[in-house]
Amino acid sequence: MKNIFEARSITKDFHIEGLFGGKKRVVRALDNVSVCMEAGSVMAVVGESGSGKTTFGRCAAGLEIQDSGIILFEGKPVDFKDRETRRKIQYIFQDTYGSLNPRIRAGAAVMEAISHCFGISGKELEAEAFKCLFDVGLSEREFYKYPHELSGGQRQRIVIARALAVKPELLIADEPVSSLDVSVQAQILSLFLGLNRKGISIIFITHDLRIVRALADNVTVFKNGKIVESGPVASVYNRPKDPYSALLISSVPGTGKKR
Amino acid sequence: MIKAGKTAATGERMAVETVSLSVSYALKQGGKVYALRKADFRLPEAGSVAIVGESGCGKSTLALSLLSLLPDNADYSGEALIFGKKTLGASGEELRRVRGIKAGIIFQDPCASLNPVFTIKQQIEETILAHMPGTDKKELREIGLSLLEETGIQDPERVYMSYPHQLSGGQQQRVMTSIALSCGPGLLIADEPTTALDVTVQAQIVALLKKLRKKRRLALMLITHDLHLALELSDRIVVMYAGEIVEDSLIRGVKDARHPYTRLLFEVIPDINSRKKKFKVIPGSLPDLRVLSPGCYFKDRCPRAKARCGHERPELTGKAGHVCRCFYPLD
Repeated sequence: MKNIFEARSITKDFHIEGLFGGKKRVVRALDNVSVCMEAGSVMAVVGESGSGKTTFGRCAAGLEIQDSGIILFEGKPVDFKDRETRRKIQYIFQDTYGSLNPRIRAGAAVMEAISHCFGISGKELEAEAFKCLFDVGLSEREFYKYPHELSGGQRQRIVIARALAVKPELLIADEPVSSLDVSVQAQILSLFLGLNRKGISIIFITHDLRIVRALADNVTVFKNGKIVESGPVASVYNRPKDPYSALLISSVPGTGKKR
Repeated sequence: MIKAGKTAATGERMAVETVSLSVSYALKQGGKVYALRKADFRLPEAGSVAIVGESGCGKSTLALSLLSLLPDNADYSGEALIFGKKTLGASGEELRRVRGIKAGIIFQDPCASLNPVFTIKQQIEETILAHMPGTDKKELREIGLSLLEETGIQDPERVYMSYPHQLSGGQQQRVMTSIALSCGPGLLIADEPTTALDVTVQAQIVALLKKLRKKRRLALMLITHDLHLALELSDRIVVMYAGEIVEDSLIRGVKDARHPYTRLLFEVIPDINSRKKKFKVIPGSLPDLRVLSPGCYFKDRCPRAKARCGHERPELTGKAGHVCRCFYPLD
């Protein structure tokens, strides 16, 4: 199997109610989007707000259903009703507070995910959860803490641990480090690199083009719901074909390129 | 080697000055967080500086202190002055003469700073009337529209009559800047002004701030966690860590950085031109600011730390134009 993920002609519209019974609007969030991804690679999805990159990620994870087009996972049309498929494709949100139950301690959140997928319990379950926490650089101390007792970086590690606990093959991460300090970002990004080295494919959605260079193999640029450019990171960055890609790259502070 | 804190002999007027400014926050469960400790900082009239640091470094506390906007649980000592007038702890009357008139401030999220139920017209004019009461309707509108034009708004008449939610993030930030400048202050404080904006819009706002600074001879104090953004806007960088100023200098890039934290901060920012699949990491995390450390606050994460760093506190030392808080700075 060469491609772990493929999107073919995906279109997604959102219907927006007018205020106070005003006119309805239709926003085309994704417009005939097609892209594919090799197993074991990291694909960065970049674009500004409203570009469709988040909607793309959500469709890829089954959190939204596209209006037309198909998504293929491991060469077959994806069936999000299938438990195994849902286990193999995991999603990481930007907002850690939103994705962790504030009344459940960190370790318990991870155990909940494991027992749901693998049906183990008791000491074995606890041991497995501890291992997941260690794998993301956390310790026993964090196991017993509530989300609000952890730092932003630690919370994001719990979210990642929980996603990894079910042994996924594809991770879709939507701006997972955007709300973190630069030095903490670096730690979490190193973690992602490590996961990719272990064979996990990653779709990494971000607006920060600096991260993309060191993290991704390929990059897909979204604008107004369309893909304007897609390819290996080095060639898109060094020789962008689309003027919008070139503009994005040159807008990043510190590129040393003239605007 | 001179110690920082000696008054410049040039007789320059200072837009901003803090003297041994310390701020702590009282915690509900008891104890305090020592958020800012003995900050000595000066910004000359029409000068520009970027205060750079990560969460918990004290940069926002410093900005809030300058306009006496600290929360109720804050305890402070030392002084903060804007154009020679004391602000921290000043009376409401005295502060009214500084806020808006001498110093304007723009915050990170323009959407949160604009009132959603009032038009832009109402919000700009409200600010002008608050500081210059009695201005007539026609003049108010003229000033308002010219401010919007000045901050690069393409169709000022339409935007003037709009509500905030009808504008894009970039437009909202330009409106915020108009409001901040509406009473002609000599100092603009910008606290993470581009963080919530798309990268192409960020670039536009940076260009706008540069233009305004030149045109209005503004002193500009930018607060940011983005080191590269800081270098775009200012020649002078003040780096803060765990409540202290650790470096204050005119630096152009990583080679000028003398404090180990500053050097690492440059290195952890992923390089858009790099081909390596690696992220440089600063190991460890911020020290607990509820406890006053006997030594350097960076020692546990510092690759150059030695025994002395554990029990002696370094002061800001160096040449004029470049000081650094370290016993073993890089060269």
